[in-house]
Amino acid sequence: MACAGWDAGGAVLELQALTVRAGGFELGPVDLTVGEGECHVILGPTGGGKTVLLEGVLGLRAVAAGKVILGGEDIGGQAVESRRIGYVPQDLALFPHLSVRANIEYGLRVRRIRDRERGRLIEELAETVGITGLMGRSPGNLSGGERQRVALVRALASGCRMLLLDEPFSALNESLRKDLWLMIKDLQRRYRLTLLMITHDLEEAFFLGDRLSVLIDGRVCQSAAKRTVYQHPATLEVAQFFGIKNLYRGRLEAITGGRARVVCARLGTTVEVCAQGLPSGVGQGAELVVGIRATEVMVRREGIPHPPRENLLRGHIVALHDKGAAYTVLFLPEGAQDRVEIELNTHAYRRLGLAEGGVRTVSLKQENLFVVRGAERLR
Amino acid sequence: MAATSGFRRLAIGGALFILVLYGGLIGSLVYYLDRGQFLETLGSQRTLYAIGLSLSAATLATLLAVIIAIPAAYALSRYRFRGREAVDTLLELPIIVSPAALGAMLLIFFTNPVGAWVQEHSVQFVFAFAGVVLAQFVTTVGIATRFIKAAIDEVPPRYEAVGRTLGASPARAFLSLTLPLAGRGILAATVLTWAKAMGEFGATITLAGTMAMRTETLPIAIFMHLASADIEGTVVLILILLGIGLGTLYGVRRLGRRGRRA
Repeated sequence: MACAGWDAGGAVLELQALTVRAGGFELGPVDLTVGEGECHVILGPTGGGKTVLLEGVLGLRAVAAGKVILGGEDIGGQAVESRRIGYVPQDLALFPHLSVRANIEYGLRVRRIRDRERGRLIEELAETVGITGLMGRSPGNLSGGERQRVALVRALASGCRMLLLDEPFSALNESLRKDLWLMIKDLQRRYRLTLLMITHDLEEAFFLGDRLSVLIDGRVCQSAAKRTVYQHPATLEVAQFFGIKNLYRGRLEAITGGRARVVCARLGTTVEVCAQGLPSGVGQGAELVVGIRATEVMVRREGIPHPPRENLLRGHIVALHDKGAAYTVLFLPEGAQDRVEIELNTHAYRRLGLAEGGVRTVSLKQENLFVVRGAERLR
Repeated sequence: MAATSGFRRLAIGGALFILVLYGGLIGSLVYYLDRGQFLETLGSQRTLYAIGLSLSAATLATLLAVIIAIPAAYALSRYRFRGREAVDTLLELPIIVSPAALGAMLLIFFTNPVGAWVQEHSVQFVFAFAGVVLAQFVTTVGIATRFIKAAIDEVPPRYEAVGRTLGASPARAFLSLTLPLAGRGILAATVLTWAKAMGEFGATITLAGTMAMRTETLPIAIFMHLASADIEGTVVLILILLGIGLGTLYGVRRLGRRGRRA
């Protein structure tokens, strides 16, 4: 343990059927586990209950039901100051009447850490995040990035068992935000930090998170490793939150040999998907939603033989949009009413030589397709 | 542009009207000002007593009002509790009912069995120094609470929340974060409370009476001199009250400015 202020021992957070009320809003019941040394990101739209969840864990809001277990101990009844959970709020809340050093020292003084130990700890953390030269400054005279660093060090220095971050980078420009992501990753590795972070920024969530939970309307719709959440959204709402446009109503026709055939009338085809990926309990004739990310749709090069079972669709390109770093291609399969959105990086786009009106073949690979319930809710 | 200039003139005109109004009233005192009379009244034992009584009673009443107002204002700002709305409404009681009515209410209280028992077993309030302090306290505590609440409202509760996650108890988070951050507002509230207590007349005269060398504060002394048609003496006393009040306000403002620079 390089940092004496950081005590990761047993830092595993478990939320068991946690319910928190905030005015007329009710969060939960939420079940969630954050493993030791893991960065668990809660992702969701604004107003979904992310901040309420953090406040419930911190003890800033009373828990209506359920348990908050940290390191095997139920801390649901403990006062905020006894929980030893570090917190960096969205507005950072650096104490404006104290210098940077006094801000960082605040938690150490409260916990009566000796002067020498305090000095050593602050120097080490300040050097790690590069704020050594800012110690005498006032928070009002710091840049956005410097303020973030100070807030992080203040929380870390307090001897917390885990750290909660509430969209701390939302006010920063992209370049600065990415620098801080790298810094968080570095700190996480160095000190084996256990982090619970909330954000509505998808890129941030996937960059920082080891595991992701998607919180919509006070309910956790999906909680899994980030790759799983990315490729296989568990519900229609999660898919829509991720901005996935390629969502098609379908009817389950048959399941044979580990594969399921789903008739997608508006796409003018029947697609094959992995039977394993079907929602539990669905049978033949079930109305479902089949989806695929725009980045996962493959445009085939003409004249090259295609592997079987790739759900090939022949059609023409309706529109091309240059987004700078990527191109969005709108593709209409033959006999389809719904379009397929495709996102290609600049290199792939140039290699394929696409043009509006051109006839092409695209493939929707089985492993990239996901199937969820909620056909009746799909507009 | 013409409309902006017109609006500017109107706004500044309003501000200058206040200057002319109060400046004119103060200036009109000069007409009756006599240097000999001024020094004689200023040096008289009765005037010096009234000054001393006003200063000590107002300071004590302000101290008590602020001691009660800080926790009360904090509770009204941060907590939801039964009776909160009622407390919030009653803060303006001294403004709604006249100070004389408030003094009468105090006097009536001390004539009922509970009040009589209080007087018998603790301090004599009616027609006594304690009565002066009590009258000033009762007329200022609500306003002090209102002003201090406004200062605390300005400090985001988030600071205390973060302070507590860093290990501070609720009291420590309040004392080390909210209180210093609301400090300037609390100081301003204290000065205004003190100024109001210094000028308090209605409740004081009703509860403590007009006994020279005992309960005669500066405002009461002004009233007594005017009642006996001593206009020159009244002018001198008004100028003394003005000097103390404006001098204190100016001093505190300078102090506040220096604090801001530091």
